[in-house]
Amino acid sequence: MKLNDMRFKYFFIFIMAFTFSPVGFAPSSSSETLEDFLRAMDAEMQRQLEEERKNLKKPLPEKQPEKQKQQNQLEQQRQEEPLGGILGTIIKDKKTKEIIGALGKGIQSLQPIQYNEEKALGGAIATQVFSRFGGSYNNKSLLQYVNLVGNSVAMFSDRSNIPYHFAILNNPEPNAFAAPGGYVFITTGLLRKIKNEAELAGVLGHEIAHISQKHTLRTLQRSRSIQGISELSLSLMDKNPAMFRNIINDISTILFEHGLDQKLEYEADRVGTEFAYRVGYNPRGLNDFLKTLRKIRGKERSIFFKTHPSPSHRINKLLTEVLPNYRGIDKYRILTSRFKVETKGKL
Amino acid sequence: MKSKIRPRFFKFSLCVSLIFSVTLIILLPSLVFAATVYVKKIKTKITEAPSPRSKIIAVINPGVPLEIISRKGKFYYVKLPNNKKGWVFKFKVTTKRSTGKDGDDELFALLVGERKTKADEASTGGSIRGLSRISERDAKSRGIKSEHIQSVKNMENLQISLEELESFQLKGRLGEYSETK
Repeated sequence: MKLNDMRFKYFFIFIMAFTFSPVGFAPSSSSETLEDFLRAMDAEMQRQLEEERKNLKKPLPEKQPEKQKQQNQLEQQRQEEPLGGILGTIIKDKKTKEIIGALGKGIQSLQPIQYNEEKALGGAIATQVFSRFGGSYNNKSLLQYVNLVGNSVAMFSDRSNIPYHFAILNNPEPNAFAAPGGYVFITTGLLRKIKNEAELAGVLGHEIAHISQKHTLRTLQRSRSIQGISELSLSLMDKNPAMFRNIINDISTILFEHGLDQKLEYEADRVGTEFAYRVGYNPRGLNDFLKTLRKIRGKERSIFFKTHPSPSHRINKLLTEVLPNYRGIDKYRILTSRFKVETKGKL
Repeated sequence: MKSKIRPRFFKFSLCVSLIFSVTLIILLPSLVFAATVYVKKIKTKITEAPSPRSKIIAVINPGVPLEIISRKGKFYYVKLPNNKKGWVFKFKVTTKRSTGKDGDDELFALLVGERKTKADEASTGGSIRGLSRISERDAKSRGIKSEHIQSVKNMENLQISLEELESFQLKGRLGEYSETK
């Protein structure tokens, strides 16, 4: 009976404390929760990238004389030993040593690339985009319209305090690009496929998300050209044109040939949809445009299909994982007539 | 034994739950809404009612902390550092405090804001330095035509003023104007 009383007592205290605990009433709002979620996703992606980077195959060592081989073995042993010196002798636990050792290594890895450096990289890529994809399409009022839609979306993005620049490429293939530092490009071919302003906002939102989430820079961190650099500063870029060239080559390969990781593309769909929604556009915009792309896939030639996941997969992800989070979608703007007026006879 | 423990225990637990309940009732409004957010856009308007067309109480710049009192639709009712209260569009504030790192810190925003204000009544496009010399040198070394380098410069020079952006959003019932009729 005594035991039962004790159990009952503790159970009652636990229930009371849990029921009335203020923990359950922590402040939250949809946007804050989303921001937290995005931050958590970002941290997770960073962790995965770090892991992938660590798993990169090391080059095979060349044949060495026996003496040097022994010296190298000792050196390797020293490097593999996470901790040396006094700490190494005090901390015997292997796991603790590994954790502290990893922290030390982390300090030596590439520092986050700052905006000025990012802009220098993006500017160089932007010249390549114009050069490779038909040059600039110079319709002043159309350009103004794309910039108004783009800046409206960028204004409510998670990285709204950097300038964004939007350009139209004179290219019949449907495609869009984002270069680091705020450069966004959309082809005339893609603009011709768009039916309304919500779709345009969705497409631009996707590109803005690549910039706000620093997808290219995160991918670049795995590149060979960046290995061994602890801080990518403007002065370093200025002093080493060859190094800068190699980095730009790597970014070009990422953007124009291989494309970003599929996970990053899906993330850009999700985040871009959110940005467009914040402005008040119907969050279905990007999804609706992808349906158009799905229809023309195979019929039209574009590197877009090579560098992005298939429109069907993207639609599926949006329909199952993103759009159910938005309620009352129909009250948000689609703006078909404004889009038609603004683009009529200009494409 | 049994009869002695239970009444005493019930008294104790009743006291505990009573203290919890009273504390909860007192703190509930602040627990639900007492989040501090920071302004992330230049010239952010604080209005008397949850509408951009309502009377403007204050115009504030990035980094200013606001205490959320309540919310309505896409607007927060906030307390300013000078204790004034008003409504702000929720996507013009962020829970993230500026770290001063990266280009998108409040100082940068203020610099851009000031430059633009002086240049053309607070534009949102453009950048401080234009195309980097390093980028241009790389483009030239690759034999990229000067017209394409110029295209990047033109792209950067295209300026959209905040007024143009607001007018565009007002006409399309977007942004702060998305809930107006």
